[in-house]
Amino acid sequence: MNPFEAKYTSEALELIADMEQGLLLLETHPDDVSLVQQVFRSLHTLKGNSAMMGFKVIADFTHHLEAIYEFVRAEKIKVTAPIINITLASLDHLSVLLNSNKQLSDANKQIHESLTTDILTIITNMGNDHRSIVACEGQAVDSHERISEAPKRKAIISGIRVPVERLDTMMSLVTELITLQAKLSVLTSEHPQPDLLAAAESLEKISTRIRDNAFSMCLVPVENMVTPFHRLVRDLASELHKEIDFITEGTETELDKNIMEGLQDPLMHLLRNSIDHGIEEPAVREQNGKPRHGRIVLRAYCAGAHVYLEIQDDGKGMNKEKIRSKAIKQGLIGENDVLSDKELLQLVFVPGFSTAEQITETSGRGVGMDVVKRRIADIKGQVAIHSTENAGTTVTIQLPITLSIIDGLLVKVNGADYVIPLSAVDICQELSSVQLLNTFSNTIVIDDQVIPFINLQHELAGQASSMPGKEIVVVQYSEKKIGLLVDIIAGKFQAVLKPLGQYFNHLDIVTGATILGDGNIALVLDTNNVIEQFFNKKTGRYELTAAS
Amino acid sequence: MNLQQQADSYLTFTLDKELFAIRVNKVLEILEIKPIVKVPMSPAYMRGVINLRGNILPVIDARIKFGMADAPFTINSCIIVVGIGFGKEPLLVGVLVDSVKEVLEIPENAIQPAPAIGAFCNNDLIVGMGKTGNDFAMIVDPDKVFAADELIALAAVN
Repeated sequence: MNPFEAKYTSEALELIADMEQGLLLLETHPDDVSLVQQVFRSLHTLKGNSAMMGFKVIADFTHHLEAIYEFVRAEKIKVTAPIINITLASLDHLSVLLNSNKQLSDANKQIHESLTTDILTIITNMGNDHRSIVACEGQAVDSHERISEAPKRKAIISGIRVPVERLDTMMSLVTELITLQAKLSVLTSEHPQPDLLAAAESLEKISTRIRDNAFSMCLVPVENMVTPFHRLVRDLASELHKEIDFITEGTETELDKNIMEGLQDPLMHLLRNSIDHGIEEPAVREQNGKPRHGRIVLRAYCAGAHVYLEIQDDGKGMNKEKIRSKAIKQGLIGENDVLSDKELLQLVFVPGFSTAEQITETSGRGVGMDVVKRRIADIKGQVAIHSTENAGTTVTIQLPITLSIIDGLLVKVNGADYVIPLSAVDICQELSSVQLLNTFSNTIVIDDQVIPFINLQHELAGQASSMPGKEIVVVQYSEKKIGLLVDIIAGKFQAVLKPLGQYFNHLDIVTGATILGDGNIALVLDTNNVIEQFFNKKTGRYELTAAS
Repeated sequence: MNLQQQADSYLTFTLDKELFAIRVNKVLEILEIKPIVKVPMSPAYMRGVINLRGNILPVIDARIKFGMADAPFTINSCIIVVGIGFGKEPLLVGVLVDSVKEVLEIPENAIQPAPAIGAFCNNDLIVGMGKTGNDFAMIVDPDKVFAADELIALAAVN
């Protein structure tokens, strides 16, 4: 593909994405003139570009489509559901064409012809025949000039396109810079010369700013990935004869693009679940005294060092008794085990667990939620689920803002360096100041709260070292607080995460390694997994570990 | 050195007085011992990780991997950096050995199949016995011995 064609293709696909978004809005606001204008303009540009590049098939097809919107714009007809359906189908067809060699092939010839016929039927049904449209083509060009005058871009260049690889290279260079910076700080503290100190300090400030800037460049608003979701909800709802309003909130929230890529599939899956299993049929909803229209809300928001994404539906919710009996049947829990509602709901993340009685096309094969959980764990996120029967289900995903650099607490355990992510840390205490250390039940009392603690010396090496732990780091684990006993807390550290590689893939408790200023390696701990592992070892409920 | 010669060249190293050999084209470099950070909850032969010019390199202790007794480092101890797999980017792993000897040419007809019985360690680890003068060097195929999958499978068993 030559560079012109590549540029044309990427632009065309972007136009199609814009139109798709516009059309979906148009569906709910059919009288919005500016939306019609937007769709018309995009079609016109697409047609022009395609004709210029000599892709006659695409140009002609777009021309027909444009004719419909020409009428809508002239207020001769109104936007109706069939028009939107056909346009969406046509856009899909156009994307297929654009992604292939832009010519008709045996595979898409049939669909091309049937769509063309449909479009022409709409045009003829409007009381005009198609030839008169061709006749008024000259007029269309006039009106195009009018359009292009109106909303021009305000700034001459408000942004530039950068290939993702270049961004990735920049990010890896920035991480190198941060590592080098740490080394320089160590060196200057060893040779404290006034000039050197001042220069090193300025460099540190600048590299921090470069880091923050580089990060912000890799952030994209959640908005960018929700358009396909609108489409999915719309298509699936009509297929299943359900009436669903899909609402997005806080889509301006920004996320690292790598995280966003990893999020697409799990979110799709969760939405499918909500549509298929969550929202009831309209008749059933009315019987239960709910509005006919089901409601699914995708909400994004930022809190602390995390971004949260929630998918909330007002459907039938999950039946806890059903989950319980299913779990007992599968041997996941004992007949008499007492589980909190929260623990019970966590069971749906166990591989092979599905309470759906029917297996449908969409979901229910039981390969869902565990995959969702694993995929989200891959991007260092966590999933929680809340559900009330007959009121609906909410799935909350907690994500880090970025993956490559984390703020951490540098601690020593058995003389080795470890980093605990600062986002998990609640408070740090010196052991001598902590009242009432109960070594029998391994609990401490901080601020009148009884907190269980884990001796990391024992957890990480298998035996306690000769030097007893002196300090305690209290971390958040779900809603609980858990203390981690360490030799000593060395300070705050900006850790550039490096993967440990395939040899340690099976290791959950360590997320990666980072190189300290003096060239030593510190391992970055995943506190959730450390704690989980500890509890699993204690209670011997291995089935649950396998699940999480 | 032509390709054939390169394929026949082996780097020999020792473990507890025994002589081993590894294809030279699998070897990227030889490092002296540096501080190794032990990774918790990993099998005993995973010695840990080292900082190789800003990247993390896993290190396998060949002694433990081959079922020999652990021994303290000597001045001759070193880490052979080996590339595993044939892809564009081979998986790098450090192999801790007692000492590195020399690069030798062992033509294919001087390599005998490993004896079926009587070997002091697991026969799967040795692909052949190469004659080097009066001695025999046990030829190791790093793709087989140090591959990550096998390690993980072993870890699961242990």
